[in-house]
Amino acid sequence: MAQAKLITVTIDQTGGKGFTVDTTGFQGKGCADIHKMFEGIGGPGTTTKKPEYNQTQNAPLRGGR
Amino acid sequence: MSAYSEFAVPEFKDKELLLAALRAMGFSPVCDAVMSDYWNEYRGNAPKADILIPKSQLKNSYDDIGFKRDANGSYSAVIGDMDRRKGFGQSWLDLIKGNYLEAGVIRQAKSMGLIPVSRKVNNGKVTLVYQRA
Repeated sequence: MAQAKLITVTIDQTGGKGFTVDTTGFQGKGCADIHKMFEGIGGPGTTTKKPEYNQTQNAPLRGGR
Repeated sequence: MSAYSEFAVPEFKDKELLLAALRAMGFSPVCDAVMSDYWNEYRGNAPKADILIPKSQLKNSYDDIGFKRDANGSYSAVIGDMDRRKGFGQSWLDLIKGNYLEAGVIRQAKSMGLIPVSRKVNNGKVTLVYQRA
């Protein structure tokens, strides 16, 4: 069964520390789009990719010669 | 991908989000209004506010509190000195920013078609969880 694609947004209620976006269960570009769409709300942001980010893209190729 | 992003505190640039934040705090803000006579009496030339919280809605304040749009498109708070010292200073503005951010996240999540799962408040942090279909 596929892992649920969850987006967890944590907001500092006093506003002083901005907010964070944490995505799990995503692989590939779809997740990058999620993070990018939240950029418009806050000030400049930084994104850290989790290990599973490249899980699909770096999977060894099968077949070939 | 799975990833983690941190976003800094924004300026008040979006009028609708600022109004939503003030409403979430229990106020009924008024748009395009002149601040109360107190300003005329003690400071002269009461400023016109793009968004105004009437004094009647502010507990223990001396005057209305306004938000005025500057040349850069940001809304700055217009708060009397006495009120700044009486609980309407930076901490109060930070609270508005927290509500502003939450209103922004909710709006953005809705536009992206994300499904709300939960909302929790713990130790001064609001955690919103969404699911992507």
